[in-house]
Amino acid sequence: MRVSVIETQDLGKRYPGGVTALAGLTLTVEPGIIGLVGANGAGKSTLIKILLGLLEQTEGSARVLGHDTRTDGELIRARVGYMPEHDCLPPDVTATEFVTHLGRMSGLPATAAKEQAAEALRHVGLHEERYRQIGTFSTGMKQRVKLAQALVGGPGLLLLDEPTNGLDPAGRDAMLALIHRIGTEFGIAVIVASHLLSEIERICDQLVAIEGGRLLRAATLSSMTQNVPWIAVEVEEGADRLAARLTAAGLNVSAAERALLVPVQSDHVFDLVRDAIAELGLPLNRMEHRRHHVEELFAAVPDATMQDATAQNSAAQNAPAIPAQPVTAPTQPPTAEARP
Amino acid sequence: MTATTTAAANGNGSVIHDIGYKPYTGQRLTRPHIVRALYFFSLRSAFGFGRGAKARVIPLLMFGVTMLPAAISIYKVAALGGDPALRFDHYAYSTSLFVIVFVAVAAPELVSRDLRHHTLPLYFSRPLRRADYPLAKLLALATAIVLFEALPLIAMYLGIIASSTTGSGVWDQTKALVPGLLVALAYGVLLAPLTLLIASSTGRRAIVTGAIAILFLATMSVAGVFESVGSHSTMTINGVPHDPGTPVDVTPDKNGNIPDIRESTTYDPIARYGGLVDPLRVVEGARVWGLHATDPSIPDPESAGPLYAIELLVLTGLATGGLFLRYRKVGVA
Repeated sequence: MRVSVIETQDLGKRYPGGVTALAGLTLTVEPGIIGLVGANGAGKSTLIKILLGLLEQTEGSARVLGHDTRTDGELIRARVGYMPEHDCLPPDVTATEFVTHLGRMSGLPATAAKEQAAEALRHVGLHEERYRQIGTFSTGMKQRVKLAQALVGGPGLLLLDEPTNGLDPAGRDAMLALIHRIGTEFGIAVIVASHLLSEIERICDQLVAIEGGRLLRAATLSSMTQNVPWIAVEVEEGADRLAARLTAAGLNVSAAERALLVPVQSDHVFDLVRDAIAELGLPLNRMEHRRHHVEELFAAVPDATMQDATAQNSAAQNAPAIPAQPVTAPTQPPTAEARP
Repeated sequence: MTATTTAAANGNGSVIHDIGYKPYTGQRLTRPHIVRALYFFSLRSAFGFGRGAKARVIPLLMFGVTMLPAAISIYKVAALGGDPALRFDHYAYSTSLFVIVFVAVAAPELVSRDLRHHTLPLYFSRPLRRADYPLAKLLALATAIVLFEALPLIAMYLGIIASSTTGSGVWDQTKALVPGLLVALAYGVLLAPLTLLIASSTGRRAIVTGAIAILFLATMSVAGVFESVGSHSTMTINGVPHDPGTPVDVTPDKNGNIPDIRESTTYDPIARYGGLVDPLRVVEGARVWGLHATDPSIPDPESAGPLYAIELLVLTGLATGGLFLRYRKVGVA
């Protein structure tokens, strides 16, 4: 059995003064690339700090790579690479010097730190520029230095807080590709915190969504996309008649922008749809096997909190419950309620 | 892991030939080793090493200037004989302006930079604990100050004994050196936490440098004012008190004897206690009291002596405590 990267049990954090940053978070995360999604202020950074053992939770427990965050913070931090959200680089040192120093701070001996710094900078694509002062770097290059310093200690887990912050679209793609490579080729578990769902769904194989400090949903992407294939059917006219017909046949049909979404529980469904269209004599524009967009998974989220979900909202309203994962989705009262 | 030659196109058509990722399997050092690494890194950066040449200008210039009296003394003793230009135990106090400039630059270098550039989260997301960071910085700056003060003494000592011909001369110099080294140690122990506490309050280096300079220069002049207010000089000519309103007659009498003019200074309590406002005078007062020295650079504290020693300890303790408290509360992200 594989060791879970992260396990939390009823994890909660309340700040003095009654602000609840996290509440009742129970979560199990397997190795892979994990997206941690939530609006700004949803509790992502608080969760990361607790996982690093920098902040002590007020309730519950958390284990990272098998170590308890309360008691083994040092062990965790020796094996976890952290890339903060904000700028954290001094401008007047070279990338090599900076990453080497932080390699030493991760516990590498002097020679190993030099080698690993060169390696880390090569992996993030800064091999040529490594002797330049960080102050001369572009935003994209600085983000790569931040990633390199997280990578330098040979971590078993990377915690990346908004790694695409401030990047232009091309830079964002490059950063995402790099993270994907680290998670797949390098075999390092990666947790990517982001407020942009559309962005990290491209590289993640698990998603965890939190809102207002509570777990909204957690699921593996593969389980959804493989277990519940859908077909999208788009007809020129008479979509409502088709929907009625399919519903009558016992299918759970929902409407997307211009198409109808039909879950494919068995091959029989394809025949049913084909026959229905033929019998109604509808002009068929398009019929395609469709993979889920992750937005649908989080469709229950109010628009305001996850703007990315709104585009698919109409589809989602009637969407069948997607089997969501070994994790519990809490059905607890709102955050405002303070516990004794 | 096998070496792959993945050609990763990065969007602009450029190609990275990648020989693959090898997870690090080598030695991992424990926390005490990491603290030691941070200590040596900080000690080097106190003198400006580890960054551009520009960072080294002021620390090394100040160190060079502080070395000058030592060099002059070695020359004087070797060529002309007699005592060194500056005594070992007066050395630090007499050259204190340079150490002030040195710490005013070094302290913000050690801690303000990390605040300014938000580098602290990177330290605290590593095995270090909260107290390890200020501990390494404190020890590093204290060591830097002690080196700054002690190296000229040691150079002077070695230079003088090299030209000494008698064994007793070597022994005398050694006896004179020890109080000097104790003063150097006291400077490190007191100035390091005091200046780091100031430096850890803000990331803006210029402000810290200014604040440290002002702290020492202002207290220095306040103590100077107390000293002059509370000092009374009396002059006697041939044993007769001289009236300050009349001119001093120095013409030899009929036997050709020059008048015996003596000046003595007495100090009011304000002069003896006034030095307590100046950290550097605190060290000097503690030295005079603790080592029973009879050659104070400041008004002899006499009965106030223990206060100087107590203040040295209390000030050091408070500043150290404040520094650790500061880093227990500092934000990490």
